[in-house]
Amino acid sequence: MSFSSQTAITKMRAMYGKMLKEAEYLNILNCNKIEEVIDFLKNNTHYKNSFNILEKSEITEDLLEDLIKREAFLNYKKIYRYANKNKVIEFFIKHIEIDEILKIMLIITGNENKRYLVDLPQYLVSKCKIKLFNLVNVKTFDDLLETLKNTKYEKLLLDFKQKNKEINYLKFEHILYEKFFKELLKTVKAKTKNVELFELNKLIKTKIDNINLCYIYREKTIFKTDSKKIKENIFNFHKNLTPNRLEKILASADSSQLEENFKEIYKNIKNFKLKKIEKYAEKTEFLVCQHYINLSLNLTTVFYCFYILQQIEIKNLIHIIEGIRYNLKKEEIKNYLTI
Amino acid sequence: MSIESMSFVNILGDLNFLDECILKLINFKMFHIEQKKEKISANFKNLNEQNPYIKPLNNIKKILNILGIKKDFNISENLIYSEELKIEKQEEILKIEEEIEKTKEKIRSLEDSLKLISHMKNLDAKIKDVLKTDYIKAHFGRLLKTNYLNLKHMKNEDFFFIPQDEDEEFCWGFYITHKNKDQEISELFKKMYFVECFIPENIEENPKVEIEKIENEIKSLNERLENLENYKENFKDENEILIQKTYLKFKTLHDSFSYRKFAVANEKQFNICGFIPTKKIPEFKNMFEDNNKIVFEFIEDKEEKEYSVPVKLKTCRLFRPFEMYVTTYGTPQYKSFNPSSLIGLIYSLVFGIMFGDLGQGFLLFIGGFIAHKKMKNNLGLILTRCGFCSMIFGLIFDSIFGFEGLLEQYWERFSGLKWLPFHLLKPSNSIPILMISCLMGMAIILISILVNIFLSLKSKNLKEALFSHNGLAGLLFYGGCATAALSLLLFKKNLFSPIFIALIVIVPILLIFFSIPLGNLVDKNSSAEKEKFSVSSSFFDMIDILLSYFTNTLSFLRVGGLALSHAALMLVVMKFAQMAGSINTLGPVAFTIVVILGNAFIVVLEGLIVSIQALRLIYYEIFSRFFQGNGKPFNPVKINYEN
Repeated sequence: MSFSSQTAITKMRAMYGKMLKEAEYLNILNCNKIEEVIDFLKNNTHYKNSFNILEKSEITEDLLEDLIKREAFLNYKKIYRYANKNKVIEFFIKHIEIDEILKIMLIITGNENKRYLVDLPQYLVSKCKIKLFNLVNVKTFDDLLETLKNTKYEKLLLDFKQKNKEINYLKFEHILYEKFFKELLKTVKAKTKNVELFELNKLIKTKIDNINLCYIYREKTIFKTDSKKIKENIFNFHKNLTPNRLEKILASADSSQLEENFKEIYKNIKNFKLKKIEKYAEKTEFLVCQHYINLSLNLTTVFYCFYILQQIEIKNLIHIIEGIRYNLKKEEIKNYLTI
Repeated sequence: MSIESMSFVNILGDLNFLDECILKLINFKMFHIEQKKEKISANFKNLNEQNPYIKPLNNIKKILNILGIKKDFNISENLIYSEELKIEKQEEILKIEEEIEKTKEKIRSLEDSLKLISHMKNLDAKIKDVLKTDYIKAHFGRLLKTNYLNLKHMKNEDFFFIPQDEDEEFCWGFYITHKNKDQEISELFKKMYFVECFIPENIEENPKVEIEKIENEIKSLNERLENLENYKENFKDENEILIQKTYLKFKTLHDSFSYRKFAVANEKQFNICGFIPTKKIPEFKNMFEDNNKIVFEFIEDKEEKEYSVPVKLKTCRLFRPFEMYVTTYGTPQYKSFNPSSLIGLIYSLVFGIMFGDLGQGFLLFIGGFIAHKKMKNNLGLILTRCGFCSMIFGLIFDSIFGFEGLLEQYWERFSGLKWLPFHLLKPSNSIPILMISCLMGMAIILISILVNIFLSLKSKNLKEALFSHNGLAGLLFYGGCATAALSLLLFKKNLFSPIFIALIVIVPILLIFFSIPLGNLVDKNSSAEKEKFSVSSSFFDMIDILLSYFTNTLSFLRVGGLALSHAALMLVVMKFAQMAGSINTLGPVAFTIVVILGNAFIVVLEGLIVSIQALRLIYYEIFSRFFQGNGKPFNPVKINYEN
């Protein structure tokens, strides 16, 4: 392992050590107002660096979420310079590109009534292959096509436009991520070997399994979607969700049968309840990442875990902020957290 | 090695003389006050009064703070009747300080405005012309640089953004829009976290003109501030002693008044009680001789049921500083045993062996003395004792700043002491020093057990005195085994005969094993709840006890071990010094530097380690055997001038 990899791993572990622990989450949960959350994060956590650029009175509720995300991006900056030639880690930038394109798609499809603004740090904007600032003037799908001209997304968008008369956000999201995961797994296979390959495959496929299972759960129980249609939107990479198991799950006649079939995948969870599937999925990923960030000797694995754990922390904080905003009970908010 | 005998004093007097009485008790310096319980029969009630000296004391404290006067406690005068700083003068200085604060605040706000306007440095127009117009609306503020880049890329919008200044994080500027569009555009800017800077009403001109205006104003305010500070300084020079006196007066009045809550009183009389050392009774009587309005009674050397007797340790001067180590662990019970002298002796001895060097010991002695003089700290005095012992053992070990053998010629004169000097680095001396450590450990453990037996018998705790592992049974077992082991090792004489084993090993073990039922048998206090005996629990306790005798003895090996390590470290320093000394021209200088630095390093590092290890031996191997730190410390009434 190279010296720079060791440095980056140590840095990530140190930053992971500063991440919020259960006791800190409980302290934040004790806050009754958003101002108290801001105060706590500003004075007692690693978010103080990002929060200190503004006065307490200047931090609004909307800005709070942005500042939390900003801290995560600043953390990536600290390690990205050690790993900018790593082909697997480059997918982190691709993931950000997809997220930005999806943000604008949400606006185009009318799912979100918000103006698109780039809120990424400058170092990330410069790393992206697409000109993010040009997206600020995009209002229609054709504008988007024009802006993404001569990028690898152009062909995807054109194909999508030809095949679909109506722009469906979920379909578009599926296509983007299908390609993303396909390329990621291909690169992992090509650029890594032995333990590193095993670890990354396990981590990525666990994520894909979780996305698929949560999707199946939602479609089968809430929207009562046809199995054939569900299958179309399933990512065709798996770890525990083998084709046989998938068939079995899709063939479930009712919720109890679905629950029994899901139990086979989440064997380690006692008192499995189907409605908690999203929480189990995130918790499984959280535990795997916690395991590898502590024990893995491979930069890519540790970076992946660090990235996922940061994302989970951001989600947890957003759950708390929204919970407090909507006056939810402490216990209720706690149920949404992955800790 | 004892605890001061205490007498209970009950004072009754005319209520008008309560303050005078308290002041006398404070001056007496040996009165431990107790909260008197209300007496319904004589209509005596607790005095719940508001302390009238809080405000004047706070005022004078504020003045001390404002003028930066350090509290001086050496003014020896009758404080209560001394002159004080007049109220008008107090108010005057408080007003001056208020004005200083206001001026500073104004300067701060002007500086903020200056900072704000300096971000408009590119504006070549009057601020009012930009901000106060009929058809357009302009806002000045800052946004994150990323959002400024967003703005730069936006096309066909209903606003202009005119950047004025930027730093690493933010960009300052005006956004200008039509009045009708202002709300819509403001919403957009709000989403971009535009923080609007509110420009004070009076700032209207061109930024350059305004900057000059503000700078001039700040200058004149600074001049005013300087004058006020000079006035304050003069005031301090003129009144410093008077202010000190006023503080001491009000502090005395305030603190003495706060002791009134310990008294009970009716309309005419007060009643207050406490403890004084018995030997101070005549002095106490003399103090109230001239006042027939105050009467008192003593209950000499008798434990009061209502109040637990406070403990004042009485230790010889040589070992008095070691009281600190005892009280840190806990206060011994009244009429028990003050271990300060014993601890002082063992601590100094153990420290001396572990840190035996004449030169370094001398440095510790001097360092401790200076530390005590400068900081009035007991640690300094402890260090002098330890340093002295280090010097003695340094003589025995023939070591001066790591140079060994310098004293050999002098020792040769004492023909009777052929084993001296005792060079630690001589291979033949390594085992003896470790054995001496163990022997010392055995002796200390036996002394601790004896002290425990004595204290248990004194408190009539027969179970602890006879059957515990720190009692007679333990003494027989440990003392017997230690003697037999030493006899076998040193004189090759085996004492382990069947009778010896039966009497010194088996009988004490059985006594300790059955200590609970035997203890319940001899316990005369039938009302107390009897302890339950369990064979399994006693069995495991027994294993623990037997092991602990062994490990506690071995624990003292560290004394010899650290003595050897000290000598070995000094040897390393000397080797380095010799290597440095072999440099041709700079040899002697390099040698001296290495010796000095090496010694400094060893004094600090080893000094710290040895202090901690010696303290650990005291607390763990000695105190755990007999010390019960649940006594009440003796706290005489006093004025706490420092707080």
